[in-house]
Amino acid sequence: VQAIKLQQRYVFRPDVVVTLLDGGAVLLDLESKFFYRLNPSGWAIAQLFESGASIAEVRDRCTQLGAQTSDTQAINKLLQALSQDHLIQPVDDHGDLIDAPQPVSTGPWTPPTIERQAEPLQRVIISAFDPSVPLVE
Amino acid sequence: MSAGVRITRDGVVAHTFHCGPLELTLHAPNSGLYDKVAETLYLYDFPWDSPYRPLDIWAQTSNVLEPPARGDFLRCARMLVDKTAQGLRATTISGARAIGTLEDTGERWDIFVPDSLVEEGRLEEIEDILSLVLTTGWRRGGWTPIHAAAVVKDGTCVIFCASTGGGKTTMTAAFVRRGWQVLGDDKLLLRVQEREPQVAALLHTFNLHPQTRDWFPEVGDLEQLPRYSVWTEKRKVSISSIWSHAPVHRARPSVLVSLRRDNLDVLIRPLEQPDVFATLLRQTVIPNDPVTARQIIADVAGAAEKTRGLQVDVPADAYRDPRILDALEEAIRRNP
Repeated sequence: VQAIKLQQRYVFRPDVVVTLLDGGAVLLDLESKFFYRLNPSGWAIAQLFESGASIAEVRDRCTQLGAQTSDTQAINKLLQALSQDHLIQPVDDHGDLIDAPQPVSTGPWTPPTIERQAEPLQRVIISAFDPSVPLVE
Repeated sequence: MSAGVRITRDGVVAHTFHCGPLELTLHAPNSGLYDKVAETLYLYDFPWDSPYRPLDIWAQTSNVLEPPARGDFLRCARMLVDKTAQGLRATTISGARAIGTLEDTGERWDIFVPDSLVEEGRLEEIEDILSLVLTTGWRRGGWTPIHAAAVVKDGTCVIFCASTGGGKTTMTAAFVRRGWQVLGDDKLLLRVQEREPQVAALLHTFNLHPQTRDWFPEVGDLEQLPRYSVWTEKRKVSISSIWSHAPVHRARPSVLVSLRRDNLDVLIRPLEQPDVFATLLRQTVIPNDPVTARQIIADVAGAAEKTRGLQVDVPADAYRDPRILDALEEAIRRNP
């Protein structure tokens, strides 16, 4: 996988907020304001980064969940998306790992997907109550 | 103004308002500043049916210049907000500022406004600060503010979502005329408890454009009323003064309608659940703070999970045509 190292451990950036939805999950990057939808298998992979995982560990987990060789491209695409959009960051092997719950099963394995919403949430808004784009005043 | 105003020996007025789940006591000199803050808070002032969280606002004039906030918590058009060790700090483009001290049992906000803003009556930025004060208090009380309208009838509660100027109020009024009750045309609170979403009313007013009379004559000549803000033509109008059956305080949302103005045709189509989530998420303000954001997104996701979605494109003049509203009501009531 381009730009990420096989044995390096990664975690979600602290300002990436995860919410479970419809068997999968939504990731919101508070910095970029983009949000991402993961299908259940996508979340089965990505949830490993809540506590910290290497790419090698992620691939092992995928195999345990039922991934076939033909799924390699989809898995790499997901990992690349997480890396390229800086949703995950390297973590020091000697610390920084978070004591997170064990990964939970998310149902039957299907090719994992991650979909970034075309438009981010607004960075500048009208008021603390109104998230609309401010009008020109 | 409701009862309970106290004036202390140093001329500070203290008055208690009930704004959603907040019991808010305003302390301010007896002046134009007090009037402006009280005027805004009064719009939200009606009884709530569960325990209140205490919140104190101390407002005063001050010409001390402070460096502007960076906006690392929230960036609004006229206000930036930072997170601090004690809570939050906000500054506005004209020099007003606010310091929020947030504690487990309640909050205290100190608001400082330059004399010049009070003397010139340029107090819109106070509304921005109060918006921050209230939304922060509501979230800390377990509710997520959403910028949406909601109507309810026979157990079906519809949330109308649209951006500012997107037709929420007009569609809400059109439904109210057809016997629906209303929780609000613009501002609501949302929470999910035991996997059940709930929306609550916050205001007892509509923001109506004078043009609304073209469709709904009973609203009368709104041009006679003062504009509530320099930024809009709309007027604040008491809901019950026009439609006495209409106000209702709580409901369980069952349908979300994403409204879009279209100049040509009416189009009604179902929304997938992830799109319901995305639509509702875009109606909420999400500060750059993971803890706060997590609660908001959990509420939105919990509501989206239990809510059926419709995308509705309506021509600008749709409200004149009962067939369009019939079709929309039918789509809302149809089982998924």
